[in-house]
Amino acid sequence: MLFNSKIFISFILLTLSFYYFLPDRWKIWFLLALSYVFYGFWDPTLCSLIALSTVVDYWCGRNIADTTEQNKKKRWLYLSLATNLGLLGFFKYYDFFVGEFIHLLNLFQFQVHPEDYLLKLLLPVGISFYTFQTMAYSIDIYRGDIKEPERHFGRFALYVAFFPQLVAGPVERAPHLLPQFSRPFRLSIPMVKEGVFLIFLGFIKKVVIADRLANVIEPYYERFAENSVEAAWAMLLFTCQIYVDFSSYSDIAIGLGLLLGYHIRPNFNLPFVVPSIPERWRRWHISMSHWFRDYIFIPLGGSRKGAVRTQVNILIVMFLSGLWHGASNNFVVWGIGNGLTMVGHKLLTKPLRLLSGLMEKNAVTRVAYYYLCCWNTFCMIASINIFFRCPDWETAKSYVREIFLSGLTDYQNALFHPTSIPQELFDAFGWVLAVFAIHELQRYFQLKDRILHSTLLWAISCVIMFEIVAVFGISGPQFIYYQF
Amino acid sequence: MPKPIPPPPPQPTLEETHQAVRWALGLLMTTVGFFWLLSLSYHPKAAILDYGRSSSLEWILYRAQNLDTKRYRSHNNGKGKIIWLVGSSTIRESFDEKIINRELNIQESEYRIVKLGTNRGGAGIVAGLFQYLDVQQGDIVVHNVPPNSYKQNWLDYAAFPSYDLMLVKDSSEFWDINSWNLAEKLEQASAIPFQYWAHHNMVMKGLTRWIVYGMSLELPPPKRGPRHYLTYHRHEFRDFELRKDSANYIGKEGMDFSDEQFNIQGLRKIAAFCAEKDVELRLIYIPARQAYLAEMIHQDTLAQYQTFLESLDEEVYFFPQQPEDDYLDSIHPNFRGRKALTEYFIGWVDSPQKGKFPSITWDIPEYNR
Repeated sequence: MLFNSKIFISFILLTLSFYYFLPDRWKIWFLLALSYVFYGFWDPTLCSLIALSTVVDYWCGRNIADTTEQNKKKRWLYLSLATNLGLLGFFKYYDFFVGEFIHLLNLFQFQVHPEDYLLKLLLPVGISFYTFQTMAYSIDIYRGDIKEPERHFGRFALYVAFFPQLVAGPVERAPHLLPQFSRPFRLSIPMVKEGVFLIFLGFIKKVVIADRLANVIEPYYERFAENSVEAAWAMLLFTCQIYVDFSSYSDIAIGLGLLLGYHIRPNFNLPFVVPSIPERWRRWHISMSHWFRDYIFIPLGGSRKGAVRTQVNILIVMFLSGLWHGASNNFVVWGIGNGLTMVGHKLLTKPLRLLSGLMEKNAVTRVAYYYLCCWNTFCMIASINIFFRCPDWETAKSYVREIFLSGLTDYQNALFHPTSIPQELFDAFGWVLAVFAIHELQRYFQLKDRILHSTLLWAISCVIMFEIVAVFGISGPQFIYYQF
Repeated sequence: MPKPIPPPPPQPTLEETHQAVRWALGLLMTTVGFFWLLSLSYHPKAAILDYGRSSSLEWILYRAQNLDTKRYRSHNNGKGKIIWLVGSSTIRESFDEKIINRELNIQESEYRIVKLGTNRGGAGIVAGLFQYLDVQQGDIVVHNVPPNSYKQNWLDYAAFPSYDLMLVKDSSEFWDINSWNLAEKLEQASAIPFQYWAHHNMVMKGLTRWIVYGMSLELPPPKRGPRHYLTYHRHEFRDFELRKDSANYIGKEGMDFSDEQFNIQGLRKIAAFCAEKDVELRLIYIPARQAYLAEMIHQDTLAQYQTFLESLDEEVYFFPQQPEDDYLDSIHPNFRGRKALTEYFIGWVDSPQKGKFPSITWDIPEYNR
């Protein structure tokens, strides 16, 4: 079920109408049942996968905690990891790795036909998210970060399948979300206000900005890049699109959680205008970044084994992050590209610090330098996002070639004849500026907090947002991160 | 070591919870109430719709809802009969209603025609118009059956926005759409209040026009007159593409003749309606240009389509193929083609010629053999 659909609006209105009247002990089961209805809406058979992950990790979690022998603990942990990674590996990566292996064999003149071995499996929605969430639970118990496992099956099952964050995150951690299911239902007016506000905000971002940007740039990515300026604009616009699209889902998820009486941790912290790549990753898809930090980066040694090893660890994490996003060479390159930019930033720390020190001399140069760094970071992210967005390797190559390697003719032409830039691309950049403006208003004036602080302002903003969403209409393309 | 995950924040009190639940339920009821009130102003006769009507189906629906049928029956001492030409844009472009009615009047024919041809007007869509039409015993219903109406996944191909579909379908009818799975049916059928969703798009377009004019401090705009949707295009030629990778291409096994196909379902509905009203249903095929038939449809599929037409209970009448220069684009006649087809139709009213399925004289590319 898509958040931006008519059926979901009806679903959530009915859910809340019944939910508030139910006794506390029934609320968990009610939400669990609805979460499976929500998930099974696409394909009821997919519920069996999430049920399998739930049962295995519930059982493994209890056994890891109850067993005193370290070897037995390890075996239960391996079972949990094998089940979840097995599910993920089979549905998401089987065709990719088999395809690459066959490609390699064919390079060595073995005549192997991929069609005989590829399964062309459809990726179950949300599998990348809930498998990571349940693995984190098992690992936390093994490490002792969670002292007592969840023994109530319903609560644990809801932790895995909680519908607001099931299909596209945030990837919640058990110490934060699970205890909330054990507590009695509590709600406050500020939670309701913030929940409603975030839901409307999410819909505005999705149906007004993200979908409009998608409509503009999709035709450009359906073919090879033919003009440097058009390709560059599409590249910049996509970076805005993916931010508003993904953050809108998180907003709606967090807002729904609040209306149901639960706190879901923020997934984005103003990542759109940031002065450096590491800063960006500290603010973007925070739940996934923390997951990789806690379960990959730190076990690899983190930053405790010297500068070189630290950079290698970063590259490994970003490679895996790329692979998590998609089973294709495009995403691998995207991940490695992000890793290289982080490594590059680390290598340039001293010169950048020197430059920053020079620019701090007065307010004007400080601000100008800050936004220059932000623009630089935005462009770097946008460049790497070519591989994220392009549907295949050849299209991505054409974009890289056209934007960076085909000379300055198209850029000069656009500079002296701005009307040569397609009007729709030009107009769409207005959305980028709007997102930038709101982003900075939030950063400097805490716009959201001021609105939530005043009931009148909150009511006016909700009505305005509602009207805007009503004008643009609800139904549209699915969220980008549903495909993971 | 990983940073510890912070525990959840402290909870509000029970009293705060009761207050908040009352608040939330109040918001819920206000939202639902607001939608219901809004839907009361969204009925088909709402003035704002006049300013938002812009698509082909919106105009054809408007014509069907407001047709002065008495005027079309005023001949024969008020007992005149009507030929209802209901179908796709090919119907719209192929016949000149004024000229046909003028000639039928001169010939003192018992018939006059009403033309209701809409873009992507497959049977599944136009079946929804009949509820507004005063079809009486003795009338004739004419519907065209072009091959692209029977494409696989026609609803995806036609890309009707859901608002348009809601204009001609009742909320209960979504359950009958066989080509949709359960999720799709639930999605559309859950759009309540129904009148709100059916007319929302037109209302928003109308409001937008008012706001735009209001901002420029001009007088309210005049009501928009009907455009070519109610008559036909006036160009001689419009650019078109004949590409195998086009969405319009119908490949091998590219058609679906099962009962689940959206327009075949619609055809059954139209046939049932005509049987109930005791009116004759004539199906017609107006051939597209030869280049289209040769290059945009696999010949095996074309043969299957021909077999399908022959298998129908209703008689299918094949109109004559027009010269390539008499087409506006790949499938619609231009003014020359319309002239010829109009003249043919006038003679066809009282003496319907069955005609022949068009034979392909254009070079058929290899991929279509």
